[in-house]
Amino acid sequence: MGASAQVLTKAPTLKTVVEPTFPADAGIGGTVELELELSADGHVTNAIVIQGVDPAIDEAALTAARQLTFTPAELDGRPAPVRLRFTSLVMPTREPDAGPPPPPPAAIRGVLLLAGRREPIGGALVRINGREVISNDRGEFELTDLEPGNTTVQVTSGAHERFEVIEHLVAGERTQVTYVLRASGGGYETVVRDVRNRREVTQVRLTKNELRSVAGTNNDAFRVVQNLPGVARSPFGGSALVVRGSKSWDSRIYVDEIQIPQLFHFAGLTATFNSATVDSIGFHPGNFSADFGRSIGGLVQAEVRSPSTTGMHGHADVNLFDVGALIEAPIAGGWSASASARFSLTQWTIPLGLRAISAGVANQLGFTLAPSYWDYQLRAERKLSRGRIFISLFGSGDQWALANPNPFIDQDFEGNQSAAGTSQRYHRLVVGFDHRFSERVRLTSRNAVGFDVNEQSGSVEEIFFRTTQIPIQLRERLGIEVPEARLNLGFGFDGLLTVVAFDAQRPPVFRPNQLPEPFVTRRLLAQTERSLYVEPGLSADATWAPTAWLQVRGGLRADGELGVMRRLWLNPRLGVRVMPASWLTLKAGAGLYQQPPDWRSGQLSPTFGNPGLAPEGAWHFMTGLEARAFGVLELDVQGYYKALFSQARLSLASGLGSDLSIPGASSRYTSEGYGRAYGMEALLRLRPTKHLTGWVAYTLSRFERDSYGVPYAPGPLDQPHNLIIVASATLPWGLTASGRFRFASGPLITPIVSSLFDVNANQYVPLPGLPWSQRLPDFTQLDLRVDKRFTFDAWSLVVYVDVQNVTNARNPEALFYNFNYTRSAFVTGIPILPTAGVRGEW
Amino acid sequence: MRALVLVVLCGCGTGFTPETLVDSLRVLAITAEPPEVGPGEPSALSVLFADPTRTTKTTVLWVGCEPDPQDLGRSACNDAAILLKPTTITDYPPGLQLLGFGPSATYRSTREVFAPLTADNPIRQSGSVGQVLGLVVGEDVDPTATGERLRGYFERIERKETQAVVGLTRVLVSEKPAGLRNRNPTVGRLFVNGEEHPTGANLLVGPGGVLELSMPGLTEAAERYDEVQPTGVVSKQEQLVGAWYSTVGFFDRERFAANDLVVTHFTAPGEATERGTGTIWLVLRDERGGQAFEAYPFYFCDERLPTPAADAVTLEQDGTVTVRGSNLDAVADVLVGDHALVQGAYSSVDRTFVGRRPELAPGTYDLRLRSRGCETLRTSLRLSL
Repeated sequence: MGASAQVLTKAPTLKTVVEPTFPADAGIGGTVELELELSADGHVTNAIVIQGVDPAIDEAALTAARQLTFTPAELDGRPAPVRLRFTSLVMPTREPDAGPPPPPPAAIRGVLLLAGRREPIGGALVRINGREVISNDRGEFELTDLEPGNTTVQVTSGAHERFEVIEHLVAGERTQVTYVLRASGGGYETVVRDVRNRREVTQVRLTKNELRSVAGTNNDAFRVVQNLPGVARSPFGGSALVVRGSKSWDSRIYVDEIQIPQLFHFAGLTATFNSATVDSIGFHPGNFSADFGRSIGGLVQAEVRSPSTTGMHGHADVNLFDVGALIEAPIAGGWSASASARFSLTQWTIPLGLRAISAGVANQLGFTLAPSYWDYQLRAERKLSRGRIFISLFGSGDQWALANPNPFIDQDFEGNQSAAGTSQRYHRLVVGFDHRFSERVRLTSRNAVGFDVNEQSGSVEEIFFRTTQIPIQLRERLGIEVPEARLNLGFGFDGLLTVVAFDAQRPPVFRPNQLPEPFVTRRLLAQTERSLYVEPGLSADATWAPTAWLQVRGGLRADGELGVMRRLWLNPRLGVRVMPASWLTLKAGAGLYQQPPDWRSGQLSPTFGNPGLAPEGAWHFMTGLEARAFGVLELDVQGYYKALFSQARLSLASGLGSDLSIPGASSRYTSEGYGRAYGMEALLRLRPTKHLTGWVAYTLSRFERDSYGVPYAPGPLDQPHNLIIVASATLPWGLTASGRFRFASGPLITPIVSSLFDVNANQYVPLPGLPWSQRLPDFTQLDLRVDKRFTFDAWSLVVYVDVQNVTNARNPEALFYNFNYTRSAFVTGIPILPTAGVRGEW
Repeated sequence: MRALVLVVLCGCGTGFTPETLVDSLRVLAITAEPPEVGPGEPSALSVLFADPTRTTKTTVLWVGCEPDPQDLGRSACNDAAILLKPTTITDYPPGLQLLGFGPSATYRSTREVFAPLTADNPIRQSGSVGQVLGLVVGEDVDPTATGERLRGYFERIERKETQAVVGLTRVLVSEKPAGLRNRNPTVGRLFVNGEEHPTGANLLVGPGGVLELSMPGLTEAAERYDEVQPTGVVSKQEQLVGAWYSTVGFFDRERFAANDLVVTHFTAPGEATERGTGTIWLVLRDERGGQAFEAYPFYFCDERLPTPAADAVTLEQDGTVTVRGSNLDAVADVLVGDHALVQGAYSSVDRTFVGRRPELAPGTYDLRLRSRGCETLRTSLRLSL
């Protein structure tokens, strides 16, 4: 399916060698770096020069390259078009010398291996004295009838550094060699821009090369998503994924199409799923197709790569925050498997760091249980003749607590040391199955069962919130191609059944216009609930490409929640792509999106919420264009408008005294919230080249929500401008340098216009003005990262330094106030923060 | 968590004045006596406020609200929208009433407050709070003002033309038997530098000096009570929290869990105030709405003052005690046993030190002088009560 990442299951190898014709008067020749686009049958459909020598030699290289043929590359076991690097050596032809009779010929036999991993390198060109041979899939090559004596052996391969060595060939003997080549920065890249596959109107997919080594992301691919258009900057570098201003519940995170409840470990340090096992990440800020539902925001989809089928590999990584390891290998019966795990070090490093800075800071923060996290991923996969099957088990846990310096519930009191903590854990067992029934019909099946625990404790022991969930997700999708009608059809079942045990005890929810009562245990409500949330989903969509320049994708999705809400809803969606030129695509989309209210937080609870809430909804509209230039630059610009309706919101307490009274105020929640989001997103992207990759992302985003009588007041995450420049360069000596620059509009805060002294609580209670109506100064930050790789024959070592906020910019993230809210000062974000790590790979 | 780390990292360096320093008009405490009443029963309100910088008159306005019978806190006194617009108070939203003017007032709910509830509804026993606002206004408010004139005061408060501070407290209204209701805590005996401080005496501290303040016996003073929770009745003991305030100087802790071990250090400023005096307050709170407070005036030690001496003491029928001697203007307190003369002060007219007899059992007590030079001087005088 177009929306999912495809796995390169077979690399193309050179089948037909065509020597460049050395142009007359072209000097001494040289090496021309080319980029070739191969068709699904292995023919060269396009060739461009990445790094040339001179025009005549470059043209000779291009002419020869266009005549090359390769074995077909395969994506997910199917022949597919790919793009690859190719090095063409254009040298003068040696004139035969007259001389004494030649000695008996020599021969050479060898094997090519990848440095650091010892994987065989197939498809490499080995050249000796004008003779050439292509290495096979096992990396082996052999040349006979060679001239004895010292001779230069050259090995070139698109994905590896050029290798050259002088061998002494002995007359009449076969010389055995093993050459270890180093990987270059380039490599194969899946052609995700192919119009036949690209069916979504709004999607950015990042490949491994782009996910690697982005400064400021702690080497975490999921954090790279936060640098894309449509995603607002999260205050303090935190864990929120704010897509077009939406709250976090509105966006969904999928790993292998299975929804996970938590993207990041605490404070967004790193993702809960180890990105070392991720092949690619797709991000949809909106207008996604009918394949996915139960979301009115955006989607993040991670595709997990297949475990190694060529040998045992792995890595170990340690940095200031965690230690982790991965191992993968082929196992019996055609299966291959991988296992990885990660454990935090933060339970030691953060308290140590705080104490190093200031003992007072450590005391003020008051960790009673230092923050800790872990995650693991196990996967076994077998390639089948018509697809693949995989089983994976993964999970994550986070835990922390701090003694809340509540002015009344003083931490000095015995029994309050466990105050205000949280513990979140999730596990997923996934069985995936891809099968092609025929050339036209294929099945994608993803089925999972999970076990989630979320525990939160309040400032005193009597206040707690615990949920245990067993989600069962079944995603079955049938894809049917009808080439005669230029039609791709998709039919899907996407069911989610969640068994929930909900156990909570807490005071009644304070309404937005109420001052909180400090006697928190005097009036406790309790709920012990066993619920079943039944969310069936059916989808049907069709992609119709009647001409080469037009593609229409329409779909209809039926969703619902039958366990508690007992509601069904229908969501139509439409996307159109028009390609007036080969370098230009115009696109537009519209669709309806709905989701249940956030039942995880109790919004549908009969005690704390309102089971009668309607599904939250949003209309998505977008239009834009995509353009390509110079073969390596891509521009994606789009404008969007999102109308939110039926949003769950807390009711005001009208009660006895308030002069504010809204319909339905007697409920704890109503579905009367509404809002809108609109803006523009632009992504200028340099596709990964041998030495450079990067992008410029700009988002103009407005988000407005109703505010109890004030229509379209700014929403909490309204962030008009967000500019991100990301660049990564591969340097000599195994060095990679990357940088990230960010500029964003300052965060919004709710101004405090007055206060009163709650004499029972011994604290001042702020009286707020219009919510989110004050904007703090703009944010700027520069992050830099350097990776140094030491490659040995059997393994490699990477040492990296990541420095966030290199200029130590003092970016205001919030205001903090004096005790009675009459004075305030900025809370500034991350100061200059260098981190370092070591990673061993084999 | 990173956010929390950063808040701490970046927020602790800013030099806001500490909460304990009372350098402007402040409400420090409001007591309701008793803090828990039955429906329709009265509770006497009094406010502790201070404004060391003001010389104009201040007026206290009292506003009370009827408890929410469902105990969900729905009340005009608890509504931020109304508190942001104090003029709304003069519209008298349902359940709101003006309780009076002056340093004290009385709160009383209706007798029918729980009428909407069934007889066995547990809220009748656990109670519901009636919110009370004490507005301390920086002008002389006419207690007879009504209508537009009263609204005028609130308009000036709303426009911030008149300085005003608001304290919010709560009176718990329940049908509990009287013996099970909450009672206000009692401020115990203060210990200074490890020694019991004479009752009613001024504190003495040198410029830049440090006082070790502690109050043993509070643990025993905490009441035991039953709290109705969803799991059943839970027997609990109150936790008392003490909070210190002062007109100058600073404390090493702003509040403390009231137990025998806690010692708070007060550090006086390096230079004495112009008048050479200041005030420390202690407010005790339980977590159920009970409060108590005590003021401790203090003198800055001044070693340049001459040493006072007493040579005669008389006790009048009305309880007035007069001490005669020399340099009595340098006396901070006259101690009778371990109590200071109540409202003792130097009279420049006849150069005596005059006060009222302290609450002591009948008997004969030694008389001592505590000088403003920070000395405690024995005398040969004895006073029979």
